[in-house]
Amino acid sequence: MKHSFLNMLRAGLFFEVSILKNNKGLLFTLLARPYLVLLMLYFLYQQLQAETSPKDLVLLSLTVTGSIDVLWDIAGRGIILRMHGILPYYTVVPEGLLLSLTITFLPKYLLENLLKTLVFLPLLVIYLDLLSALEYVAGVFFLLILGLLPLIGLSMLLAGLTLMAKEESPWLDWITPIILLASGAIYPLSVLPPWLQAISRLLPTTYIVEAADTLTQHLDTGGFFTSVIVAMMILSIGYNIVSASLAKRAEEKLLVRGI
Amino acid sequence: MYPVEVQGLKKTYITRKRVGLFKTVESRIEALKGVSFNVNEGEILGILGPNGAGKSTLVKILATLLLPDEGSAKILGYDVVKERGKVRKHIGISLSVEKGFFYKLTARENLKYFGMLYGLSGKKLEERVNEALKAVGLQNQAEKFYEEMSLGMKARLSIARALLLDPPVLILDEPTLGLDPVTSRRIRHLLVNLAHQKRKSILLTTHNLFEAELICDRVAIISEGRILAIDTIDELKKRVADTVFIEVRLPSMSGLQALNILKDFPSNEVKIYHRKGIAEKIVISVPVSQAEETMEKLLHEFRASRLKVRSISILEPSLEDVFVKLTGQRGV
Repeated sequence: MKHSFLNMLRAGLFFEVSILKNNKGLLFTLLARPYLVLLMLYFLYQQLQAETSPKDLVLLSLTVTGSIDVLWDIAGRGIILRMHGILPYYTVVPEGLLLSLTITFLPKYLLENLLKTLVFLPLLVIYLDLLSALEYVAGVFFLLILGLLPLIGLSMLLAGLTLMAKEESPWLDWITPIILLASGAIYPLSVLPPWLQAISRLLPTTYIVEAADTLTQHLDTGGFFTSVIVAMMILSIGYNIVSASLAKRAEEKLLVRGI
Repeated sequence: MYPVEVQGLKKTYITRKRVGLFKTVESRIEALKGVSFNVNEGEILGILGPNGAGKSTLVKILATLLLPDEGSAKILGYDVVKERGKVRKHIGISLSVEKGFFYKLTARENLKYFGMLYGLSGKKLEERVNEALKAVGLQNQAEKFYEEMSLGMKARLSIARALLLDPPVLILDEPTLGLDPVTSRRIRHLLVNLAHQKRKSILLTTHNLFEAELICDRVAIISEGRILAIDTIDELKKRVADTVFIEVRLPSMSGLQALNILKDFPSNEVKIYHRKGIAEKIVISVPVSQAEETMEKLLHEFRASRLKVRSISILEPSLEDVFVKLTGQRGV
């Protein structure tokens, strides 16, 4: 099993590197997009005379949306593979469809986000010294990995449900905004109603938002950052156990209908 | 133990259609109604049947892409439901000749990717990819992007992927569909070689009766979810040996006149099977005992109507005749 995981991860990395190698335009877009967003936010915040640095805002949005996008990306990938007639060939991987779909996606997530964060390094060096800039980028990348962990099982489950649904995309359209809202990524948690605040404590993304806030606004006092990470790790384990077993059932249902 | 053993396989698709805000109507389609057969080692078994006969359902179940409702199917003794992981390690599948790969990857990159997914790595991966490319004759086009490949190349690449793990069982859904005659011949040659030289068991579905007659060691004729007959082609032909076919070739533009004459023949004596163009070639099935008599009668009637006959001959039954007789359909 361990060996198969490694093979799937390797396959995913090979795929991503090949795709970027064969599509220089895609690579350019991937690297240029964070700067375009940064530029847009810079002008926006200049007009609003906001205090937050655009650099921190971009990195914040990168960590939060980057991790939530996993949900959409894996399920969306399932739909695309189905359209291209590739899905059956993922299904015949001995470990099954949803696991292979998810595991092979992880290198894409890590590689793309590593590139997206590294692209900021030259800019950060202007604001900070090289060592601090490297630390900052490493911190953001660490958060991106952390943000991914609790969502792996959930992504599998969502991909299964999406492939089972007759109309595929509505699943994907509403889930991300709800998570973003309930985790405090769009509005601060304090302005949300108490019941939504209670739910937000169960969402791992909430902790990612808090950890990203801590990192970008240098608020780490009294081990707050560590406690956020620990809470998220505990939630991750619970989430992955539950959602992976539900995903297994979803795959069985999917096989009853046929791939 | 047979490499492929199928026993009493049944599958019903249930679909629900919304007819109101809260009301749905359920419809059931019985795709397989108890299918049983085996595939021997080194054998090509062709599954022949019209559209909607249950061929694809059968292929999907054997490829572990669909769960049956009843019955069992085993690949090398492994159950396709309970031991899916083991089955998947012993089969190679090809479900479509025109898609199923990543457009922006080359043939080699696509194969390497799927090879890794299926558990190959390092030197073994390189070796298997090279062998698979060589087996299908794509070694010189290995660096071509999938989007740039012709349909024939895509079909061969699909078989190459099925060969990656060097599996003892191949499951191929219409491997030559839409291909030109030269490429089809090449693929047929490849499949025969794989079965007879490499001793692989191949189950393939096809619409192409000519192809089935050329390469299949045995053929299963399936219609409406049931196997109507399964045997070697020679044995199947013997089943329609009570009937012979008279082929009449006529000058062009005289087909309609000939059909008018044939209208007066008693229907139990003459059955027109197919007409080419405007019936310049007419094939008639008659009981063996009445073949000579019917031929003379036909010639007499045509002469009386001053209709020229280019040739008239008695034909041995073909696989198509077997198919038509068993399924009651004029073409697949």
